[in-house]
Amino acid sequence: MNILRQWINEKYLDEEKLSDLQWKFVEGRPFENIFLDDFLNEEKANILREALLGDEFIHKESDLFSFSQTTDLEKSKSEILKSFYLFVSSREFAEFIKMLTGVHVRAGALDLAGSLYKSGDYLLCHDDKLEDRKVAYILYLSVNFEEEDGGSFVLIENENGKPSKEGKKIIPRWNRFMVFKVSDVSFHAVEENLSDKERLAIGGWLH
Amino acid sequence: MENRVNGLYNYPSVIEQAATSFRRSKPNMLFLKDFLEKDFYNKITDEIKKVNGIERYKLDKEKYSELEIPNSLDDFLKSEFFIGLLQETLGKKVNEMNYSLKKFGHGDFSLIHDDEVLGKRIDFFFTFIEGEWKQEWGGYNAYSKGDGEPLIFPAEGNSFCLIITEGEMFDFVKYVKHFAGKNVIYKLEGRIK
Repeated sequence: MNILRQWINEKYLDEEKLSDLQWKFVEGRPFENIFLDDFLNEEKANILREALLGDEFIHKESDLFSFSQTTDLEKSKSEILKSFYLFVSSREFAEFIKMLTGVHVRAGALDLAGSLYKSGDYLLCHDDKLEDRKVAYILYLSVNFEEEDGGSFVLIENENGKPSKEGKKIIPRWNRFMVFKVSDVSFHAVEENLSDKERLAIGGWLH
Repeated sequence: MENRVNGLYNYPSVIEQAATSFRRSKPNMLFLKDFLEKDFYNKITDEIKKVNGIERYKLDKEKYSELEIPNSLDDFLKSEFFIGLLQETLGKKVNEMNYSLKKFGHGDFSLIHDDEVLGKRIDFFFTFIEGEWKQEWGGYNAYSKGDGEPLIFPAEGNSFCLIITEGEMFDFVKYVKHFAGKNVIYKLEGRIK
């Protein structure tokens, strides 16, 4: 529990609270999801943002997306980013995710990278489904993002397993942690960043 | 009909040169700038702006408006000159072709879709733009094969492109970013059988 207390806001570490949150996760629509505000201890969120901004982002383009990404943070030279990687790969964090989502994930089996959406960047509808990905997680580290700025995470409803229409939108607010279960119907997108603000996040998948 | 294309492309030697270049390139492709005669291009662009459209929107596939094709453009596509140009370049008879006119503005796109027909296909497209368009806004046609860099054709008004796709080669139109504002780009996209 020690490593969790170092990073995660105390209010999310109560077992009873986590049990309630698991209900919310399971009842999440259009597929299992939940977001938690003020997720990390404020000081940790701040140093993580600074460290991430100091890392190298490589711009990527395809038919589906336009954004920048770091390499997997397992190999980061930054002590802070490495310690965050160790935290996310810990047995304690895997146990936390199991309590939050009910999904069993293996400690140390993960992908973790930083992402940066500048003005005009976007990610169109896809499902994230790749063999062995169980849970996707994202921690938003952008400052002052509002709905009109774009960049929201969009959960997409499905009809007979095909994406049908846009559902709930999650604004990438500061220190907001979002988790969803990866499945054949976990269709989602990231709205185009319409602002001049940088949409910064760190996340990946747990296996 | 000849005066409907840029005078340069009326010379048999130029067409022959273009056909040779097409056959030598890999994949076989041709990209001709300033293809239509300027007044004819402007006339078509004006007509396109006035026609009705139907929105085509599938979240995981495409978003654009499909427009009625103005008669002047349809007549040109069915003309002896255009069919002759295609046959000269391809070195084969054109028996049948399908085409549609699409409008792309901010937020529009078409994605690679792996359930589309694979293998050898002959595609062509014309681009019509009113006013300014910048490549960084998106809206360009691209062809992608595997993980390599896609083959990108610049979104340039009054250009004509002809390409033979090879194997698992998919095409897409790049998402149009908000920098485009209210500007739009029109594409006449066709496939030859």
